[in-house]
Amino acid sequence: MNLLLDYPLSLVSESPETTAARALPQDVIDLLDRKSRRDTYTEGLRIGQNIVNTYLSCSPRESLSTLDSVLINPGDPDSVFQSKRKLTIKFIKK
Amino acid sequence: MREIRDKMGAGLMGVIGIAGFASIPTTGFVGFLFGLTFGSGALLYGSGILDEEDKKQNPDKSRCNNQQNKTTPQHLQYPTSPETTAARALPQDVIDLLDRKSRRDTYTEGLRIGQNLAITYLNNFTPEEYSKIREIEIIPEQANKFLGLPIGRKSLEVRIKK
Repeated sequence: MNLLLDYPLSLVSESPETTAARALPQDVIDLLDRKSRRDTYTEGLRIGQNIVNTYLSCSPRESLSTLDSVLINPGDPDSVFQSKRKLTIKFIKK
Repeated sequence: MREIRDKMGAGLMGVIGIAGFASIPTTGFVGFLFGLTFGSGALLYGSGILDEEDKKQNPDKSRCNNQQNKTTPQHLQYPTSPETTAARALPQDVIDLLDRKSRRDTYTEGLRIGQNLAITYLNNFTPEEYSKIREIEIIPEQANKFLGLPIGRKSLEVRIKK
């Protein structure tokens, strides 16, 4: 029971100066923002990769022979344009 | 307990006061003084006026009597002074960062759900249909706000273009 009561005690003892000093600097915020954006991009690529793998494993050999390239665009969730907020996989034939 | 004690005291003073008044024919002015003093004391105690005066003069005592079991212990109270709460609030840029991250996570989760749908579709296609596929789109649209009004679609869409 004493252990449970120790936690609120530590909260109460925080001075305003201590909590204000905990605010993140702008460059750290920018860094976290870039990391989050890249993580989203990478996850979009992984998802596209799974779909392409399914496509490649299921399509007939004749169809694969005509395939020139595959483009995966994970989209941009931060874009103000609706057209950019989507994952696109393009199969470009020869 | 204290109320019972006060009322017993008031009753006793009342009895003494009545006895004082009753003994006026024999004791004279002394009996009158006894009756007046104890009688008025009994009235004041009985009506609780003295108790209220006591509470006004000793507010701490009053608080202890009324709220002793209702107040939260000091070490469990959350600080409520404006300075402390203002410093504890997250800065706006951190809130914006968390908001963007949350929006991206929602987008990614939409893509994951669309991925499962697309794979299910593809697994059911015939070999002839595979050769016709040119493009696959997963649109995890979510409602955005413009001037406080929601715009955009909320539905997830999977398009397989041939």
